[in-house]
Amino acid sequence: MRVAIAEDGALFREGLVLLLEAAGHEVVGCVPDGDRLLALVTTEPVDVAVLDIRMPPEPDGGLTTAERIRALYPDIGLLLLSHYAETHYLMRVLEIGTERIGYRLKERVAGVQVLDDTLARIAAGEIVIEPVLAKRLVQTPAGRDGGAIDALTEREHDVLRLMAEGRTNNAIAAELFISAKAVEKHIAAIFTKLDLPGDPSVHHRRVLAVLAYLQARRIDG
Amino acid sequence: MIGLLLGLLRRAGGWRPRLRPPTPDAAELRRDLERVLHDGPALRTSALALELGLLAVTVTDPCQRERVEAAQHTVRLVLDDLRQVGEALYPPVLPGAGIEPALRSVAERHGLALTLDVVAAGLDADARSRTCLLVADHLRSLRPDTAVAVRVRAGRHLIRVRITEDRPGAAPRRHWAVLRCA
Repeated sequence: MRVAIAEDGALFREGLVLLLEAAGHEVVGCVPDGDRLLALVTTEPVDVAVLDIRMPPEPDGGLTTAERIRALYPDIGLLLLSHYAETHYLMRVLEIGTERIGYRLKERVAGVQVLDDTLARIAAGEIVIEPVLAKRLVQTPAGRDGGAIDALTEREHDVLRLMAEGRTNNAIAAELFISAKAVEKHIAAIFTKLDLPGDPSVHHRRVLAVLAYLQARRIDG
Repeated sequence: MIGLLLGLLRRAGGWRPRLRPPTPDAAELRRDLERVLHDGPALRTSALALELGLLAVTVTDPCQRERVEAAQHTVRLVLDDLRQVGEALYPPVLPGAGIEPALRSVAERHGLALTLDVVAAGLDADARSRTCLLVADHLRSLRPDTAVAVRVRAGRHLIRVRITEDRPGAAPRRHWAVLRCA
């Protein structure tokens, strides 16, 4: 895979290059800010761009650069990294796109296997969300109005949380020790309870389910 | 006598203690400290995590591998700690997103059910920062599961803040504060 990096911390940037190369990827360039990344992807073919959220142009240059790249080159996958797991950043990421995009904590991709897996999922068109954040979103305080979300069973909650992490049906089945067929049944129940429109694109409905879930929790705006 | 009266008022929910906002210097110092923490220790420790990730690939001895994995776990714990300190110093989304997302983030982390009513357009960065820190610090002092309503109104010269807390089985508690816009 051809990868471009934008990160203003030199030490982390260099470490990321070595890790990507160890995972067998080609790093076509690494730059310290968003403007230079945009120039880079204009001249070099790139499969996935890795961006630090908090870099120049300040304050959240990674997000504004990701927006510009997605508008100009929608086929380029985007992996946004941050020191913080913030719901606000997640919402911004979802506004940029719900396919070929990811948001993860920096240290959580610090392994050849996990980094490779994250990039492969993004390149394949999935959305990858930091599991820590997805988990926190389901642990909402009592008394908060969750609307239709509250109608979900405990198992459906688990499935939705894993959907929010961008897992496939098979991965959800493995995580919950249930069959893939059972996962499909739970997802169908979630779609019905959340009253999601019947869309031919199953992936689109999955994203809608996650968004409905986030909106019901009033986590932002 | 006054103490008894204040105690009764507090229990009845009629006492509204005033909250003190941080001074402009204190707010600026907290923002600088968070930035130093993010760009220094946090980034260097994240780079160390990458280094350990690389090392894990080359190590074949099971004992050595176990030690590398233990070190990776410790590094993640250190970063979790640094995150908590950074968030308490200065909400990381405040500069880019403003008061509301920053306060929602604090409430989410502390398990609070937050209702926000903020009308504060046109505030400068300093006033926005002090208002947010005032409320954020108070939110962090509350017990999880507390329902909190925060109302912020910014006028030409003053910002008025009202916070109402509601816990099951307890009388609602109210706090207030007034800050200068500049």
